Amino acid sequence: MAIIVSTASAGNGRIGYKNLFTNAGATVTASTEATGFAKENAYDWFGFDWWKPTATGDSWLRASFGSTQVANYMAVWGHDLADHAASVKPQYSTNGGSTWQDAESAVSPSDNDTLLISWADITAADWRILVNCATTIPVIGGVQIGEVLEFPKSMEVGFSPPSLVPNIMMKTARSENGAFIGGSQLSQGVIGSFKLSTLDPAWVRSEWIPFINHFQSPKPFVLAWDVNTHSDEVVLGWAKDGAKAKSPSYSSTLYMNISLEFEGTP
Amino acid sequence: MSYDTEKVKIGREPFTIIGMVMDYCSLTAGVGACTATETGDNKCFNTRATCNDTANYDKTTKEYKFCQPRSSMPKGEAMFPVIDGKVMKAGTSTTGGTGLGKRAVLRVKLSDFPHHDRDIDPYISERTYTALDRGTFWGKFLVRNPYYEGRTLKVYYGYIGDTFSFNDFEIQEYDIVDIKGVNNGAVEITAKDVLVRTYDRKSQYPSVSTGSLLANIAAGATSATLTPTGIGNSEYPASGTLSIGKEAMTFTRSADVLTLTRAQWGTEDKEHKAGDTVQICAAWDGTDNVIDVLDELLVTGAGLPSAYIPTADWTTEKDLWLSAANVKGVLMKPESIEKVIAELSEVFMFDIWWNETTQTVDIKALSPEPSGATINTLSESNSIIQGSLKIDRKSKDRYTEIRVYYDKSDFSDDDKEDNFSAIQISTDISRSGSDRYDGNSIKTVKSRWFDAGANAAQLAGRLLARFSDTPETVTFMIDNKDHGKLEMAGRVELDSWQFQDFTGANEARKFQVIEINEGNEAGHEIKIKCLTSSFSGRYAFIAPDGTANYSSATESEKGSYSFVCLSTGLFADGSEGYKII
Repeated sequence: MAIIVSTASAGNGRIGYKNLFTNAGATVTASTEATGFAKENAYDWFGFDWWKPTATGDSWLRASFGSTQVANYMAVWGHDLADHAASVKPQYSTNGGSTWQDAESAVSPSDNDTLLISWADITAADWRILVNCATTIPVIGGVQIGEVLEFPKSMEVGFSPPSLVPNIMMKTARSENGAFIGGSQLSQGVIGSFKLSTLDPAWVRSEWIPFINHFQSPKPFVLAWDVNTHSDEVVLGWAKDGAKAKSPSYSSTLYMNISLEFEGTP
Repeated sequence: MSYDTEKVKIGREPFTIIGMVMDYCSLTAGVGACTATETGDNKCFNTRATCNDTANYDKTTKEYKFCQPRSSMPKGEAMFPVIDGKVMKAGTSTTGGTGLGKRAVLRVKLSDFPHHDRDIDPYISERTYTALDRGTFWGKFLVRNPYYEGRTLKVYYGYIGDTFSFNDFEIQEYDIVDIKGVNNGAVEITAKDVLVRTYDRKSQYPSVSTGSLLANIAAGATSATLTPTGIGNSEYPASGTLSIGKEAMTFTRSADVLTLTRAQWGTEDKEHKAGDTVQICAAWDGTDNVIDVLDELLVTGAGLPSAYIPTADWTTEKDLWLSAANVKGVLMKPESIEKVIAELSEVFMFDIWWNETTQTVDIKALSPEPSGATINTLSESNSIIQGSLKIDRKSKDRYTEIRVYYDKSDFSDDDKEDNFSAIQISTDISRSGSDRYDGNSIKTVKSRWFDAGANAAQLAGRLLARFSDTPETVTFMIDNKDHGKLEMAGRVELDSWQFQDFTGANEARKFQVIEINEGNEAGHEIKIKCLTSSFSGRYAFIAPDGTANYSSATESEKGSYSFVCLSTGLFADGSEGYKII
């Protein structure tokens, strides 16, 4: 018999797709931006352009609103923070930016993979990502701050964490007499899929369908399948070219199943 | 990291980038030299097609880069990861000194995508629309940059390593010839090597003259006047060769008045009518080396930048193998430069090709490899990829007799045999006998580019030496780690079970590389095409003064220099004598 978990446990998967930086009414400013590295590049969802400050020390990208906004996660992707020994942290202000509080402690990533930092709900009218670097300046391809989509249950048996085995095409060469004489690899990101069954249809309609609308737009999202024990296994995902999102299905009159297939990058 | 250090690593990650170098105005709209007054959505995009002040358009270039989509692509580099599939390349190929080969062709498909115009539209902040919501990248690109033909397409071949620098890439350059699409969400770009600029539709030599006769001239007349007035000084040199109708003449000129010496280059002295075109000819009198003629055709004729001509390398090749290759002939009317170069290549026996990597037009004369020259070996044990080596024997390219027609009689007429005054015939009767190939195989060459028997004899002799046995064309693949062991028109030795001696043991053979093709697996494998290299016989350079006699010479000296043998054709120790070519 399947068990319905009505409230998420800490280890349940999360998807970050909502983004205050792209919300209507947001006024986005940056401490600085280098030529060719406009601040807009950090929240246009594209993976081929970047925001880059012009100075070492603290730099920030800020979204200000006329009213308070709830946020409980920050995702950073397409960055090279590790290459520059840089740190990031989410901050908020409740006094129009006069002072800033940390929503979560600073993170100094050890690699340039996608980050997702989550915290309990905080309400504020001003949010920002604060980047600190000492000697050289990193670039950031994407920043998301907002409300995370938290799954009501953990991943099911058979789930394959997408970042465990990246999608690498290997090419090898063998000589006429059979010796190994060379090999190349083509890193093609990750491919992933998951299924969750016996979910509350109300959750599916109120939480999952809005995400599917984003997924079909088609814009990227950040998936952290287990923030508790495998917090480093976070990927940036998006719809496969030519793919169609699968519609949730009823497994009985009371429960629904969902599934998703995607590709992405660590 | 560097290209050479990365290419030999196991686990290397090949990465290809395409760069499109498009025209771009250096000015700012409405500022300084630009007098355009348009504002907002009517401002230009700093391209010629969108320019609002064409009189002051100041052309410079802007490079747009596109790369293969990889999760490990370098961050912070301005390039769009939209290469769809593989970069398809058919490499340039040569003929082994018997004519012009094939131009390299490159095709790449680039996906279309929505784009925000940042870093492309210099006036984005003044537009009233949101660029991301309008059109697509390629839709906008093509209408803003319609003059892409002939612009440079760069291909960066390299690897993704710990650090990223464009300096670590091998960069090849081509001319864009076509962009198809947007079709099915992508454009397909075709580019060819820069020798396409010699194609008939691109350039001819000499250029078309626009002057004509002011009045009729009779046969034998030695004076004529050009019209329209003033065209003499603006278009015609002070002296040279010209043609009117089918008659070639030499001339001197004062203003629009020509003093003529009639009926040159075997042509007939005839009357000509007012209005007949007076065409400047390109004439070479037998004192111009083919290397200098090539320079003239490519730089003056086809408009290639002189930087594309590696003068020192050309001079070396001229001094070593082409010193007697002087051109005597005339182009009475504009002709395809490609066709002329192909003829010169055949009759003076050299390969010419575009070296995409060095961005130079390279030349290699048909010649034997001197004894003692270092030649890299590619073996079946560690270089030749399994199952890739294919041998094609070209029996129709084997000759026992070479006939060279030369000393053209009338340059206004075609190149039929009876329009040549002389013929050189060289025959290898030993190979045409019943014990061997049992019959003749004749190659005929007609040359309008020399009148000396020595040139004809050299051409016939070298062709016979090279192709007296059935030439073999060999194609095979190697891992990219061995890329540095090959160079176009250079020699390579192949050691494979597919080359055996009488006993069946491997017998390494030498070949000349006629095609190096990064193909569709750039950075991983390379496809190579070679042609039989060996001339029949033993060749070496003339020894310097003081060199020891053959009997006491070192093996190195015997390998590098030629010695005079006995009248039997052999040395006292029984070894084969050297040949002169």
